[in-house]
Amino acid sequence: MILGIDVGSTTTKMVLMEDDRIVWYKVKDIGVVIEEDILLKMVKEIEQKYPIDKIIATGYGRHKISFADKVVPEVIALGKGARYFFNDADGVVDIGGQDTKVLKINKDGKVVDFILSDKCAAGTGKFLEKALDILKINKNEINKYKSDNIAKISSMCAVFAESEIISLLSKKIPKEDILMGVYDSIINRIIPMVNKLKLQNIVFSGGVAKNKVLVEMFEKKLNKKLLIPEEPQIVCCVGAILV
Amino acid sequence: MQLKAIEKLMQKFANRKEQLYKQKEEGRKVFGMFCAYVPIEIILAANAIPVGLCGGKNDTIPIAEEDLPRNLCPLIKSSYGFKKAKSCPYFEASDIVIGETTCEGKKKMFELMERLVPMHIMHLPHMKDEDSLKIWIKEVEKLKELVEKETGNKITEEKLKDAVDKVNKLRELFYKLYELRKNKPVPIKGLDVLKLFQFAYLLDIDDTIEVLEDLIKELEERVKKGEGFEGKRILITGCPMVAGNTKIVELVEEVGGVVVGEESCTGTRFFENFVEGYSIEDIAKRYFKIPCACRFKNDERIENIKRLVKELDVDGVVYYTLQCCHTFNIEGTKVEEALKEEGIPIIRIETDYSESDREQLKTRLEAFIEMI
Repeated sequence: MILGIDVGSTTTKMVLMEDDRIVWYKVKDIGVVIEEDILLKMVKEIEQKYPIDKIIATGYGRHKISFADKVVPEVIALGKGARYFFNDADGVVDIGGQDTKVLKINKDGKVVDFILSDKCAAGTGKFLEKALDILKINKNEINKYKSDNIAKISSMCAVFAESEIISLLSKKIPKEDILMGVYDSIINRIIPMVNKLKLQNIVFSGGVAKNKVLVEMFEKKLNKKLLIPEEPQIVCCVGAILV
Repeated sequence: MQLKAIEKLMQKFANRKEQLYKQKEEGRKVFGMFCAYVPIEIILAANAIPVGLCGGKNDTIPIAEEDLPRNLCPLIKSSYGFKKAKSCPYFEASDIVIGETTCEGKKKMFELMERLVPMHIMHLPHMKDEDSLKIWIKEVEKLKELVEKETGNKITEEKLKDAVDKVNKLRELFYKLYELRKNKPVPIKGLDVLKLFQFAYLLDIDDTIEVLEDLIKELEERVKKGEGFEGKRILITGCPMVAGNTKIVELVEEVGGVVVGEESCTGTRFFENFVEGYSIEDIAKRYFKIPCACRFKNDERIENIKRLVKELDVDGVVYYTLQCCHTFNIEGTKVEEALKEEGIPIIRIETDYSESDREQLKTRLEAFIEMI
């Protein structure tokens, strides 16, 4: 069996595969700050239950895993993974903690073009997390908040958007309206990237894809359904195994 | 397997400061400059010394931001900061600094810098028509008068001819270097070539020529033996990467690429096109052709990139923009479209002099190199 480890900026994902079949997986809420010893301990625990033939590392912290047999860049892994879950996909949108990736892929899941958000946190998972902090909304209850009144957040910069959110709060704009505004600004940042690469069947991966309200808004704006796997956070990890 | 010529280059660079101050003591004037557009033949013909002053380090940016906006190109900020902090020996050695009306940022920065150091600004027309060329020829004539006045040396026809021949010789050597880089494996790493370009702006021209001659012999040997570097062959195009700034080339070569060419002021824009003739007009014409993004309708640059891709058998192009460099950033759209039309892979990278985005850039470049 092959074990994939995807050390992202905010979460670590592990997937175990045998003959292109997912046997086991886990998403852990600790990212690149994770100690190698802890990773090694986790691997030892898995080894007690399953035979591991090979370990593949990917993600922002991939070079930290010195015991990996192979290291795969996450952009390449993501394309492969997307095609594994949806065999008609021609593109991927991945909102990670560190950046947003938009990929165009061919029928083999090979990346033919890609855009990554620039040196800036706007439109990333981190930006959303920060907004939730200010709004005092629990991450696990996020899907409870929904509104048709979208507050306008005009700033493209995560830092300025923060002060914009605070000023909206002080004007007594309801939390849910502001949250919709945050979603809206994230989506508006991604849509030009999707258009630029002319994507049709888009796999939406990364933790933000679990956000049902955001997905609904995103689909409405794109005027098409997004392809979302049951666990959107492991797409990259699965892909790393398959590369 | 460090090249001996590159070791020599580093040695010469290490000694340059001392050598420059000695040359100054001997009565030679030092002309600081900010661009590949300054015709160094004029300066050399008056027995003066040209040195490039563009800043490539983050260290001097905070002091520059006391006077300049934060969202400005790091090269402009770094350069200004070096003068304000008095921390660049080349700047401090300069008797006068030549600026030109290239991009908005530099132009307006010069207005502030003028208060710190004597400056002469050349008017570089942004259009490329005949009338604009006339203006530029006049500007080069004016530079000649200024240099003669500053140095007290008359620029005779003979001296100008010698200077033209010398700089053309330097260009010829760079052409030869590029010829050698066509080989597979490529006999020299991009990082070594980048340093060569960076130091070529600072070293005494005779020293640069000496290093290049050594280097070419050494590389010819390598080619004969089939030695060199394998990897995806990358062309860098875009903003200059001046001394102190090597981030992108380092990253490209860390993740399995090898830089085989650079369409840049620290690259082809520095040496391509010879001065054909010995008059001021001939000199002006050569510099007027430099395809910098600050010019209006700069399609020659796109053609150059396509040509270099073919000549150097490039696998992918890294389009490099310094943050807030609007001219190169906007022109990137045209370049990207043109290359995509030809099926040439291109990635656009925007960065500054900080190290904070190193990992993100690495991710991106790694994926790009894997993809092509």
